[in-house]
Amino acid sequence: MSSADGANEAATGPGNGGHPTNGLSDTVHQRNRLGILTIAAEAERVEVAYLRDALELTAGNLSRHLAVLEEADLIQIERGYHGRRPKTWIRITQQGQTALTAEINALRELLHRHQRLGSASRPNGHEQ
Amino acid sequence: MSERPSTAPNSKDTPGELLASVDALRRRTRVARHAYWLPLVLFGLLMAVAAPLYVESVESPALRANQDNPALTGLGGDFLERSAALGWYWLAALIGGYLLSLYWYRWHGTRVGVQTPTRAYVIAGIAGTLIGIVLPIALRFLLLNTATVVSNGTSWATMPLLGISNRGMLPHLVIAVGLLVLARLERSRGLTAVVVCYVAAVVLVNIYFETTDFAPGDLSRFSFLLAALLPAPILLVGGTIALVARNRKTS
Repeated sequence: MSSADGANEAATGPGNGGHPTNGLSDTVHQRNRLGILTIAAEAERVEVAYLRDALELTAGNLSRHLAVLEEADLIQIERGYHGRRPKTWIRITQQGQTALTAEINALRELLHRHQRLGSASRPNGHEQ
Repeated sequence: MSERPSTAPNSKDTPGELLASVDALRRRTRVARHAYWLPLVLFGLLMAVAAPLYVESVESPALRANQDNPALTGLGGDFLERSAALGWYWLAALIGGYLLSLYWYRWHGTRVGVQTPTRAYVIAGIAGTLIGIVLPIALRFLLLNTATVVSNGTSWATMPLLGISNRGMLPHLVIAVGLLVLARLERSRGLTAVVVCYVAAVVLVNIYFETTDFAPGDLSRFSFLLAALLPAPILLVGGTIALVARNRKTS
């Protein structure tokens, strides 16, 4: 997925009309990548070890998801050292924030639509 | 590639379940990131340590020579016997306090793996300290060296602010500004509640001084000490509760 694709997906939000699923991005909607972006949006920087523990992922799996998000310009990866220990930090980009917000909005819109449809299709007998 | 069972959002979940998972992750990260108990306790202690400088001697204020304090001691005010010492103390304590909390957040962030953005907090603290030094000079100029229309028109703001400054309580406001910025950065309702109570205490103490028509002998040598110390327990208690709550959540 290219960064252009990610931007297009983020722009196709529920606010732009159409079904709310149009606002879901393949890059962001993947459960682990959604988790990574959610955590990264909560902080200035997040260490890879924290992400691995919080999302209960193997190092290889996490690395692949991070590569996808970095390629889509949704996160920046900073490699450095703390003393002699190598540390890798993740920072969410402005595009990442926008894509995450669009995803959450699309999910909320889907939820509302689902609840509206559910209450509309409820038999009248239940209300008596 | 094998993958362990995850608490991460699952794409097969309903939107409601996905949103609940996202909220749970957000809360968990926030708890790990929160470290505001230390700035609360630190500034509460710095306030308590300043206590002796707010105590007046038994000598009548009318018998004291006029003070000609250096401009850098503006945070100590003008009314107090030890205004200059108080000014130097608060200048060092505020800058040291903000830098120490910056170091604390960096250390905590590295230890837990989640860093809080603290640049705006430190900028607010250091800028607040500098404004606190310049403000008394600007207020006196507005009140005494401008046209009557200007000085009268602005006296509703200059008089109470100058009162706060003269009682050596501008540092309390500088701390409040820094903590309010920190509450926003930490996205913490708990810290916001503590800061609101603290600001309310500072404002109430100063309203009392502004509105009470003191007669000679009404103020004791401990009056300014009580005024300056009253907000400190709010920070100390708030910080201690935050520390205990944090330890419970993370254990």
